[in-house]
Amino acid sequence: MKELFLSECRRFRTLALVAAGVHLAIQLLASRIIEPLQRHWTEQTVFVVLGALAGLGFAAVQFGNYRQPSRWLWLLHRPLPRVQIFGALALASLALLVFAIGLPALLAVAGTDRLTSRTVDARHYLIPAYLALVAFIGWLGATYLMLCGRRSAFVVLFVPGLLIGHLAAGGTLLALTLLCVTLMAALAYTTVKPNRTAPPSSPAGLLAAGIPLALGFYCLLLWGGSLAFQSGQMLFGVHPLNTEVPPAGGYVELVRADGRANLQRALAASNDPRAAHWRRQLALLDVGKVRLENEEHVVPGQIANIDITQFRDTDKGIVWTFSHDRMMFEGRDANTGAPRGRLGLGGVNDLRPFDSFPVMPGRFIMTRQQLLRFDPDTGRTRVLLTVRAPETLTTGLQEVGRQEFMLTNRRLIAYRKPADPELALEELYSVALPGPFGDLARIDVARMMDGTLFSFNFGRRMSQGEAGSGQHVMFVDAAGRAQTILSRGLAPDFPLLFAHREWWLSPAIHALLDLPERLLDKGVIADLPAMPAPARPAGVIAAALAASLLSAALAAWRLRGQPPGRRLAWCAAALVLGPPCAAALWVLGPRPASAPRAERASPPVPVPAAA
Amino acid sequence: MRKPAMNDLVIATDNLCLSYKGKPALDHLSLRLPRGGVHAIVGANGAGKSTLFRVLLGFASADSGSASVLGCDSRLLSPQLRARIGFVNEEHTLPGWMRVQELATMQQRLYPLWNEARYRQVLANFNVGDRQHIAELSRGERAGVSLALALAQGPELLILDEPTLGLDVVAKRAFLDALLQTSLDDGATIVYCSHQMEEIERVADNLVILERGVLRHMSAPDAFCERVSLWIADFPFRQPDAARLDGVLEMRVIDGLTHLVVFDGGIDFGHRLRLMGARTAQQMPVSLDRAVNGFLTRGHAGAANFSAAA
Repeated sequence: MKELFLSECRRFRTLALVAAGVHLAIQLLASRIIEPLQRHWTEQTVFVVLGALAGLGFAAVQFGNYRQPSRWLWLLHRPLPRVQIFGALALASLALLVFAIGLPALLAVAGTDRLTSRTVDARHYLIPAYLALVAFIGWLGATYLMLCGRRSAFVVLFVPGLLIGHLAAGGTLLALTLLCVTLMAALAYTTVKPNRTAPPSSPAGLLAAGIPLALGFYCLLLWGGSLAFQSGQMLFGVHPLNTEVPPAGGYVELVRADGRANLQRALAASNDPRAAHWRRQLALLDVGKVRLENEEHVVPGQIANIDITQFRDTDKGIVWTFSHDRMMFEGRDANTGAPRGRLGLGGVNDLRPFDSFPVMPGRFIMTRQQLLRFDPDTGRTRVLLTVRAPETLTTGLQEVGRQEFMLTNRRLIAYRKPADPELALEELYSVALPGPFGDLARIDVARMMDGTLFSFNFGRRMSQGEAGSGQHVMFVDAAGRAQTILSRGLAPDFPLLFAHREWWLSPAIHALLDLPERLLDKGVIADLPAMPAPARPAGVIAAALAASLLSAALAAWRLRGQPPGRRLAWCAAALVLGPPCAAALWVLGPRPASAPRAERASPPVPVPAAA
Repeated sequence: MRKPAMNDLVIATDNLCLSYKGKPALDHLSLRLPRGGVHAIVGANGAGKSTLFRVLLGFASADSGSASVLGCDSRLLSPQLRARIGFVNEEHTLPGWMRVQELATMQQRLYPLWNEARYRQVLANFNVGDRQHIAELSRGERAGVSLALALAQGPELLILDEPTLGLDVVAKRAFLDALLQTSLDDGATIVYCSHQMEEIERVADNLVILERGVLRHMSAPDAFCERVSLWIADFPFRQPDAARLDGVLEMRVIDGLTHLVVFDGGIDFGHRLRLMGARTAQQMPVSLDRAVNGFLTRGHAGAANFSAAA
């Protein structure tokens, strides 16, 4: 095994050296132009994608050569267990990828840390390992693709995206990445055998290949089906988002309409005796809106930045960068790069850390529970308002009709606009959100003569089959008492089966893929109070059942003539996992043999005596 | 001829069938090769020789039937068993990025029965240096390295799939010399696949003829040649359809004389020719090359009256 490992390293050493050199040059160039470690995750993703592509390309070159029959024979026909052959190839490839992808990235991070005054946190040192592992995952995926002999197996490339695409804390993300490496390694190993295109024969092999394939086909069926359906809708001019006149009473109509029209429509349907009076006022008043600004907060130790971690004090020429390690800002001179102190909870050179990552909406600094104002002149911060956990701030202050509003995941809070901006805000009243925060699209606000009218518009997750869509109009009188004027549900814009497609296609896989969303802290601002899982409509449940039964029937048909135990196991799996499992069976099932020919008696052939 | 016991067989297949896209590559092939000696497998392109080797080494799955090598199911060859089977193919696939010595060292550590003296002895025939890169070797030199590596493993069974294809005369002679010399010393069973009949004549103890996946003939090459003869007949009036006679593999008219390659024609074949109007009919021996070619040519023609193996 050691010899094979060294042989592979030797084979690609020049390629690895060149790749490492180019990568290091790109890292250095990038660090000269921008501050890569502090960029938004969408920009950092470029490096991740390039790393994955490098792994893919490497495997394509390596196994494009090895999969030729004579070379495959040379590789596999040797007195080594195939696990050792695969282990040698995989370890050599990992070593080369670490050298070409991980090492230059590590040098770039360490160089930035040691040679500059830029902020480098412990989380940044995880980036090289993450990049190298992503490249290795690409290598494993491409290894399977190159060797399994089925083009449709490309769906396994979707699987890493399901596991490693989470914006969780660095350690968690690395653990998930290692889990993905394990899964993909088991998958690739199923094809490293003499007859590489034969489906796995052991139950363990079938599981190792079947699970990623089923997950991949789930994505393909879901995304492909959704794309095809929506393209058809557009073709026929009935796509709700692609028509000039959206479906009546639906979410698209609600969010496309301006606030005044929304309120007018709701008041017209209301039985409240004041409705007619308000409608007349509305025609003359401005209607403002409270927008949703943040759906998630940064998780400490996140490898990627979901928000910009820097702000610039242009008057003093200081770039403030937030350090996850110290939970405070570190100042750096914009011109010389010299350190310019730290900015903690109380201001410049106050070393009390923030309790959570602060975002900077406008002139404020907002943590999960506190809104602070930073005065660049004095360098001090002042707490404007505080809420108690688990209530979480979601926006900066928004001024509508001479009132300041702050939206949390529990309520909308109105503040009196202070005469002195340095003073703490005085709460006037608050209105509990009449629906789940995760569904809230926007709030229309109209200051009336006798109070304030609000239209809470929910339905953001409606096209994913989530409950909670609706329009709730509330009136808050001068004393701050809130009354519901009208609540109406929204008509679905999309057919029921389309909206619930993620579920009925495979309830089991849907539950599995939902696990990371439930278990990982991704900083997503939760609904308060937590909403129970929506009950699925009967039609959707029937569709899930029909899909499962059809999949089991397809599996039974595909495996006709196979041993009953094998057939039964696949049918049971198809029943549980639905169409993705049936699709996986087309890759993993026995190859259809040519038409059976009648047994023919072999002509008697004389056998010579032993020579 | 005694029937070998199963444990004397290095290769045994039973009704082996394998098709590629509906085209049979192996068609109910039942083949039993006894331990020892050199078994030559010949056949036209597409006869199923390489496919047979792939099935025997577990690199392809048969649609039906079974195959065993050294007494073990070919689908379940263990690493220990693979150590006992050497394989050299026509491309002499070797890692071009390694030096000869590095490759030998790698193989030496893999194979418990590695025979360094044998390796040196075989390699000496090919003028290959230890420090040379594999990628820089000529085709003949690579063939030599392949053979040296395969023989140094100390295999019980050595499969050679057209190993001399593309080699010049000198390299070919060196290859065969090395092969014969060492195989005689080691007592390994060699399965040798080639289109070169002069090589077969020189090395083979047993001749196996495959045709479109079907086993057509198996015997010693001399015995096969004895069953094939050339008849030259002179038909003074008109050419009869002599190709329809039983056993005729090939018929040509050269300078007015009819040349017939005949399999198992028997002593009365001349009499049958005379009955058809031949003024003279003369029997002559044929070379193995001509015999096998005639055999395979007739097989392709698909003559209804020809059943050679029977």
